[in-house]
Amino acid sequence: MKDLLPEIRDYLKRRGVDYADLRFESAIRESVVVRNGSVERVSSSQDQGVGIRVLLGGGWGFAATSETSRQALRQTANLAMDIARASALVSRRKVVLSPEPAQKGTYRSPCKKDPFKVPLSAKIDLLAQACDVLQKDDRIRVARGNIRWSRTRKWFFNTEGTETEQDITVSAAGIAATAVSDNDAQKRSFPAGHDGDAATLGFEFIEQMDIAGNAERVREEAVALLTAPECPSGDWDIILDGSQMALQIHESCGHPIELDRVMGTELSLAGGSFLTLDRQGHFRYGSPIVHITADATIPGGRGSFGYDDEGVPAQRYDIVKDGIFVGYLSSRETAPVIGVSSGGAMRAEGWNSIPLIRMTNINLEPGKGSLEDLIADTKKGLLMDANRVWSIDDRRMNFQFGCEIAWEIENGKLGRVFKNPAYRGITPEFWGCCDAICGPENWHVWGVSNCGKGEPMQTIGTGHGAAPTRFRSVRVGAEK
Amino acid sequence: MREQDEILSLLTDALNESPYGSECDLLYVGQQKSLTRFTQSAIHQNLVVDDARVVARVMLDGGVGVAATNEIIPETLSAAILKATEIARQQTQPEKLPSLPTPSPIGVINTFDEQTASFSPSDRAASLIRLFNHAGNYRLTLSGAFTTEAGAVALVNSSGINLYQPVTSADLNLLAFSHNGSGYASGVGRSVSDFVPMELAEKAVEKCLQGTDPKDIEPGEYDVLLEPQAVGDLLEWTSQIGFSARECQEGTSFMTGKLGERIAGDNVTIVDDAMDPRGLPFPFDLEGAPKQRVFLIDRGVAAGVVHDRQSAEREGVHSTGHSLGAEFPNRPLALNLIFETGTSTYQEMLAQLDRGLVITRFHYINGYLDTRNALLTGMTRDGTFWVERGLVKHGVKNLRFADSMLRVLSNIAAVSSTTKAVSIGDDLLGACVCPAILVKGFKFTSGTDH
Repeated sequence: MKDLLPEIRDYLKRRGVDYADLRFESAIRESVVVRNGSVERVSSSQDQGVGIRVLLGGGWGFAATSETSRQALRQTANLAMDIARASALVSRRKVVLSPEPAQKGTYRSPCKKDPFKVPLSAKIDLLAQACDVLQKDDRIRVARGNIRWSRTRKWFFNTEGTETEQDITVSAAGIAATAVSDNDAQKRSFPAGHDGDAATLGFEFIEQMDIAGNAERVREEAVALLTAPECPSGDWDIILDGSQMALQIHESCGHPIELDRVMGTELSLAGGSFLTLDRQGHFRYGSPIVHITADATIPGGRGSFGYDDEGVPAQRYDIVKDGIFVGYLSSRETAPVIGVSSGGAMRAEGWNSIPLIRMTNINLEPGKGSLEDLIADTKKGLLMDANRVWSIDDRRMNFQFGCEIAWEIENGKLGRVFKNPAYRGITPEFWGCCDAICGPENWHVWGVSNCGKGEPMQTIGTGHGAAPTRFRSVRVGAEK
Repeated sequence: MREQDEILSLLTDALNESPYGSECDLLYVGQQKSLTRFTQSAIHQNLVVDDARVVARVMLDGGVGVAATNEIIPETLSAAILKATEIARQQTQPEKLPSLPTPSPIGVINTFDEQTASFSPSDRAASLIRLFNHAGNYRLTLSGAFTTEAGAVALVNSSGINLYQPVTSADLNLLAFSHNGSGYASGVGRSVSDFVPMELAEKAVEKCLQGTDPKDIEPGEYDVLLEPQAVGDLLEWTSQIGFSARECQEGTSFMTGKLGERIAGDNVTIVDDAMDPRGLPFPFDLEGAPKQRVFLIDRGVAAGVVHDRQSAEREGVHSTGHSLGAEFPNRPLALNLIFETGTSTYQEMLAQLDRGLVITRFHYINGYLDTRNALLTGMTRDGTFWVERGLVKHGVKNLRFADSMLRVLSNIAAVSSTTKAVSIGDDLLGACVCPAILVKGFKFTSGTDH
């Protein structure tokens, strides 16, 4: 197989394409889900194939096949050229790719303990123990835990001489408890909402979570929410925990900095961006303490890799510096529009997906002090934890997010629990109210496993370094 | 594309390798997906992807294993059965799992169209050039996606089920853009002839022109005329949080404890019916159970939820044919929602709107904050208009709504006599069929700048 890819690449060169790349991916994905003491699902999925992208006569074509014979790859290459010719009928501007040096290299994500070698029984036991603890209250109607692990091998060749090889291991896990009464249902999760946390690390990442050790707290908080008062509406100072900050960064910064989106190629589905080209370099995105970076080089980050799916090496750069919007996530096609080289952010869900500009690890750089310090420094406010609801407009301005739980803060101390907390805002106004970010001791790169983009929809993992962060005078309440 | 006999023979041979005393099923989903995306009236993404996948499930001694592969040859299918068996042997379940379905009569319906299967990238490009020219006549550009799919779903199991269904779909969504306005129109069907692209382009252009230079309005409660796409957007999320037996049994659904009670106005009947040709029909679920018509809300009364075999076993009832297959056990889902028609024409409903809004579609809805009260939030998008005394006056900037669907469904003043198929993302298995509805006092909480 590995010998066939350069052979097909050379065939495409002989046929006179302007540019072509070939990407072989072979992935194994496994998961176990335990629900209410029973194994709900254990599954193992393998898939592989080759995606061929061709630029010819000003048009792009992409064809992919799961058949990996010489004949199938030759047919797929021909189909990609046919599609490119059809695209060229309706292309408007000349495609210019940023010049990038040819890369030859390999990348392997860090993995101390191979998740494929950890016995299935050990994984089931870990989740079953946690579920046992979660279920020690009759009001817990659903106790659920999941562990997911995968390994993707990727070979990339392009007509400019780049040849790279990558092996990326992903480990992920989480638990959740849903408490139910006659007229309410409340959920608590650990370590984050939506199936937990994820990283490009081995099973050591899951072991250090201490899932079982947190199950009792998760259960008690879920039950407490059933009798907690509704979160009061109004303008509040709020502290968002790290996992909710990850979602906040993802939706209100990560997506609007995708340069393909800015240039209109996602208008048909997800929309555009308020961070238009004329705003780069001077638009005030947030308060002066807001420093946001894109960093695909963080060891173990869910959005980390060695090379993107155009063969461009992983990079770290500023997105927002001193509160000013300065940089985009970019590709080889979009980078020349803003006069830079590619930011190395082209990623595809798999062999059968065309690469798009995707988030890598988009991080709010840490500030100073602990969460305890920040709470102590807050006279009256709310601490919100774990995302439950996310909704944002088609230019990423008007958002409303909800969390699983909130605690009242009075005179620097945590007080009552509130249920159904939600807050909303306009992105730059909201980030302009950011006045404190906790320090490195509370900073963690959260893994988001379900970022969707594109047609056909591609779901990909991203990372978000974040610490608990305070915002002043934010509108709280879902309906008013 | 593989032929029916070849696929069923491969699956049946693999089934014979399942261990003695086990139950086993193999699900095949093969697809050639072709898609052309465009923006500013130019193609920027054009692809054809050929893939097929087999999911093998083995139930043995109280354990269940699932293994999948996209390499469809005898050796890899045997390996998948072996892997699923190995997984099953490492578990025991505290409760006995229900058996796999046995053969039942499956409805006969044509889900395949040859013209759609052979629709080429050049065909799509040629069609789009005409649409781009039409928009250009008004100094507008088009963005969107034109998708055609052809494939097949096959299923065999150790209880004798042996099913094969070829399937196609076509989907075109169009957004017309001016300097500060946008308009949306879409079509979906089992065939590319189920919609007329130029009619959609004309609709998108008309909406864009009407909505250009949108004005601000204050958030608050407004009467709204929701067009079919907007109704489908709400219905899809309502189904996610409430029409599945699992959510109902676990107490998180707004239907929990409400079956038989009035939860909506008597002009609201919502069913799930995968055999209705107005949608994207498909005759069986991904475990091989026949799709049944299920009344979810019947003239305002909570009437039922959809089941797979696991949720059905828990209540001692039969599956309604809503399984998503071995990889999503215990997760029945309604994929073919139909909001039954009323008696009003669109123009009659518009005439009833004294002061209010016409809404074309919603964006980024989410309903997880308070599922027991079916509280949804989301934004309007691509065609929101201010109406006075039955006349559309001007476009308005997008608004965020936050409202309970139970409240919305109880405040419907009129339902249109015609419906439209609305895509819910996976055109292989289903779509919503929705009328336009006139809702009193729909709640908006905030606005945005466009």
